[in-house]
Amino acid sequence: MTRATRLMAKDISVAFAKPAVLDELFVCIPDGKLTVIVGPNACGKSTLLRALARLQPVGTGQVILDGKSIHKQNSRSVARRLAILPQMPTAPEGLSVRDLVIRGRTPHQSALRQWSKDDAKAVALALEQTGMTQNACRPLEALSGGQRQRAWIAMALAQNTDILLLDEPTTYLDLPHQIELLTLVQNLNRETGRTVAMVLHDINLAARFADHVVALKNGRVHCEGSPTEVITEKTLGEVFSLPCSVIADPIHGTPHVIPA
Amino acid sequence: MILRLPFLSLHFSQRAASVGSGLFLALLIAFVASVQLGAFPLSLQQTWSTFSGNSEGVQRMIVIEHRLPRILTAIGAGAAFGMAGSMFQTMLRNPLASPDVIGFNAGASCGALLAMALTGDFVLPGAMTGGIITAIAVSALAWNNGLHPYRLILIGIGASLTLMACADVLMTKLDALTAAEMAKWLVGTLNTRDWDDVFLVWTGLALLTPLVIWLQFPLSRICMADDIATGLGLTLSPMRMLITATAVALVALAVSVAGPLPFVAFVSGPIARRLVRGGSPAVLHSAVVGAIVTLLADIAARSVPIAQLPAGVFTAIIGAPVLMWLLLVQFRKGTL
Amino acid sequence: MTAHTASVPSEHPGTDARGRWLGASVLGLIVLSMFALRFGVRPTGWGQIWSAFTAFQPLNPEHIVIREIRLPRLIGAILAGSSLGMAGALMQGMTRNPLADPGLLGVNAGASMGVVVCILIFGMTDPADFVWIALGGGLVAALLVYLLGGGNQANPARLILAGAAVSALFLALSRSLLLVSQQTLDVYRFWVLGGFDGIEFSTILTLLPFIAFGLALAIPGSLVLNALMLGEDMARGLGVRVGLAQGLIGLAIVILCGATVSMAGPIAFVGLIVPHLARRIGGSDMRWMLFFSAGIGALLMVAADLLGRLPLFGGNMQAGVMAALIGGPVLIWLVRRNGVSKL
Repeated sequence: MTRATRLMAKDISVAFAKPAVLDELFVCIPDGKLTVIVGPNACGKSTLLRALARLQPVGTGQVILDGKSIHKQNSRSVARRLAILPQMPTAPEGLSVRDLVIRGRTPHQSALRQWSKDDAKAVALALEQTGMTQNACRPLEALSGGQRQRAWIAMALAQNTDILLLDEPTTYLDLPHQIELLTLVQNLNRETGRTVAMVLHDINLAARFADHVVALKNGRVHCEGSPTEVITEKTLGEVFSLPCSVIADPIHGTPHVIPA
Repeated sequence: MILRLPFLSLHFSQRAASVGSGLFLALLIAFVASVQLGAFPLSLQQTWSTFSGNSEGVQRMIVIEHRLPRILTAIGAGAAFGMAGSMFQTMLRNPLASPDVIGFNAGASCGALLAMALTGDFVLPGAMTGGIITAIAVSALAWNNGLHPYRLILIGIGASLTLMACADVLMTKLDALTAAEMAKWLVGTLNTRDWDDVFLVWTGLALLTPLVIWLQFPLSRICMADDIATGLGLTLSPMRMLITATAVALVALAVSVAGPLPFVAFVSGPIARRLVRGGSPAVLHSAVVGAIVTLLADIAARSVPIAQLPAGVFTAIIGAPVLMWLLLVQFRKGTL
Repeated sequence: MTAHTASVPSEHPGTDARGRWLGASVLGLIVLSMFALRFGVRPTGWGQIWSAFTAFQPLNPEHIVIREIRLPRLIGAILAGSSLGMAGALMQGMTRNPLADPGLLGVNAGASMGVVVCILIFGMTDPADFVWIALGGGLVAALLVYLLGGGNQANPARLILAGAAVSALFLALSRSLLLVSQQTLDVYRFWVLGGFDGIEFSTILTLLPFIAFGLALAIPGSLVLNALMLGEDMARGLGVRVGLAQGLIGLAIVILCGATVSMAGPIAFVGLIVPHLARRIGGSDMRWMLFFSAGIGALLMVAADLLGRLPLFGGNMQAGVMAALIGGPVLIWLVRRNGVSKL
C-alpha cells in the first residue's frame, strides 16, 4: 500500500446533496513533490483541495496532516505548515500588494508582535520571487488579472509553509504567464523541497510540470502516478471521455495530449 | 510592546499616521470651541485661565460642572460608537452594517420603553438589559455551526424590525408627557451629563480600547474571504463572537451615557476608511471621527436658540455632508 | 466552469413548490381582503359585502362604508405593498446588499423633506396636495443620490453609501424643522402617520399610471438583474448595457417607492423585509422574486392594515409598523428553517 505522507485524505466523503461530491476518497500527497490534481468539471477537484486545507468540513473519514486529523488541530499551527490559495480570492478595496503579502505572515505574527525581521525577509523574498517588487505599492484593483494572481501567490509564499496548495493558479493568465508561474512553482518545489499540490485544467501543462498526477472522477481517485503512467489515451478516455492521442513531447519527453 | 510596521509599509503607515494626527487635531479644536461656546460664551483667554486654575467662581462652575462633563461624555460616547460601527462593518464586510444590525439599539429602545411603561422609571437599566438580551438572542439564533455574517445580518434585520415595531406600539401605551420625554431619550441626548457619566464611559473605554487595538489584527484579516482568513490560520467563528461581544459592549457603554445616538456608528467607519485608504479597518480613526461628529452635534444642539434639542437630531446633519463630500471628491479623483 | 459560478443563485425550489406558494398567497390575499372589507369600526356582515357590490344602495351607510372607505383602503394597501415589495426586490438585487431597502435611494426621506418644507414655507395643510410634493421631493433626493453615487457608472457599494447619507441628512433636517415648528408638526403628523385610512379612489387613480409605469420598467429590469447578479462584467458579456440597465431599475424603484410614499406616507421596513421572505420561498430567480415580492408585499400590507385596526394597537396603528411586527418573526423563522442563500 501507499506509504504514509505528511498530508493525506483518508476515505473522506463530502456531500452537499446527492450524489456525494467526494465519495470515500483516499489520497496521499507525496512529500517534496509537485502533485497536480486533474479531472473533468464537477469531479470534486476543488472540494478535495479545500478539504485537504481544512476549509471544507468532511462528512466521514479524515484529512491527516503530520499524523493528526487536520480539522482537530489548531488552525494557526496548521497555517504555519500549510498554505492554501483558493479560487477567486477577494480582498478589501484599496489594499496594496505589499499589505496583501504582509497578511500572508499572519500565522507567524501575533497582535502584539506584528512585525519581525523574518517577516520583512519573507515578504521581500515572496515579492521578488513573483516579480512583484515594482508593483508592491500599487492597490490590487489597479493590477491586471495576471499581476493580481501573482500577488496572491506571493501572499501564499510569504506564509512560508512546507506544503502549498493552489486551486487553479493559472486562471486569468496568458500562456507565457502560465508557464512562468508554473516554472516558479516548480523551482520552489525543486529548490526548497516544498510539497506542492494544485488543481490544473490544462492536462498538457500538468504533464509537463507534475511529478505526480492524481486523476479524479466522480468524487474518487481514478488513478494516480507519474505523468507518463496517468496521462495515457486509455485513462483520458475513461476520466474525461475524451478520445485523443498521446504523444511524447518532442522537447521535454513528457506526455502530450492531442484531442481527436 | 507593539512594534508598528516599519519601512516596508511606510506609504500606508505614513498616511494612517498623518490622517490620525489630523483628525486628532480637529478633535482638539472642536473640544476647545465646545468649551467656549454656549449661553455663556468664553474667550480663549478665559478658557485658558479656567484650566490653569485662576478664575472666578461662576466661570469655573460653568466649565467644570456643566460643560466639561458634557463634552467628555460626548467624546467618549462618540468614540465608542465609532469603533463599534467600524468593527461591525469590517467583520460583516458590509458598509451598511452598524450595531443596529445585531438589534442592540432596537432592543435597548424596547427595554427602555418597557421599563418606563411597567415601573415608570429604570430607563437605563431597562435599555441595557433589552439591548444585551437582544444581542445575545440574535447571535444565538444566527449560530449554526459557526457565526456566518450573512445569517447574522438576516436574523438581525428580523429581530431589529420586530423590536422597533414593538417600541412604536409601546410608545402609544405611554401617556403623552412620558412619551415626549422618552422620544427625546430615544433620539439620544447629552443634556445634563455629570462627572459620573464621564467616569463610566472613560473607564469602559480604558478597559475596552486595548482589546480593540488587539482585535485590529484579526479584523484586518477577517475582512478577506472566509477561505483566505481560515487558510491564514484564523478561527473565524470564535473570533467573530469576540468581535461582536466587544462591539456590543462598546455600544452598551455609549448608549448608557448618551442614549441611542443615531448615525454616528454608521458614518464614522466609511469616513475614516476613505481618509486612511489602503483597505485598513481604521478602527481607531473611526473612534476619533465618531468623537468629532458627536461633539459637533452637541455643539450644534447647544447653539440652536430653541431650548434643548437633543444632539441625536444633529449627528446626521454633521456626519452626512462629510460622507457626501468624500464620495464626491473621490469620485472626481477616481480613487474610490 | 467559469470562476463566476460562485455567485450563481444556489436555491432552486421546484416549479411545484412555487406553484403551491403562489396558490397559497393568492388564496391568502382573497381571504384577507374579505376580512378587510368586513371588519372595522362600523360592524358589517358578510351579506352586506356581497350586496354592496351586487345591489348597491347609495343611501345604505354600510354599503357606503364598504365601497367608499374600505375598498379604496384595501386597494391602496395592495398597491402599496406590492409596489414596495417589488422596489425592495429590485433594490437588493441591484446593490447585492441584503441590508438595502428601497428607501435607501432617498425617496422616503426626500418625500418627507418636501412635505415638511411645503407645510413650513407655503403653509399647505391639505393632504391631497402632498401627493405631488412627496413625489417631487422623492425624485429630487433620488437624483441627488444618483449623482453622488457616481452617475451612470454607479458602483453599488458607493450608491448605497450615498443613499444612506442623503436619506439620513434629509430625515434629520426634516426632524429638526419639525422640532422647531409645532404647527408644522401638527400637519405633518397626519401625513407621516398616513397609512391607508384616508385614501380615496381619486388618489389611487392619480397614482395608478405611475405604478403601471414602474411595473413596466420593473419586469424587464428583473430579467436584466438575473444577468447583473452574475457580476457586471459577466452581464456585459451577456450583452447587457449595465449603466443603462441600472439607471432604469433605479428609476423603477424611485417611481414605485415615490407613488407609495405619496399615497400612504413613508412606510419603512416593508421594502426591506419582503424580498427576504420572497427569496426564502421563491428562490433567487429575479423574475419569480419580483412576482413573489409583489404578492407577499400585498399580503403583508393588507394583514398589517387589518391588524392595526385591532383595539390592542390603539385602533389605528401604522401599517408599516404592523408589517414589521408580522414580518420580522416570519423572517427569523424562515432563515432558521431554510438556511440562507446569498444574494
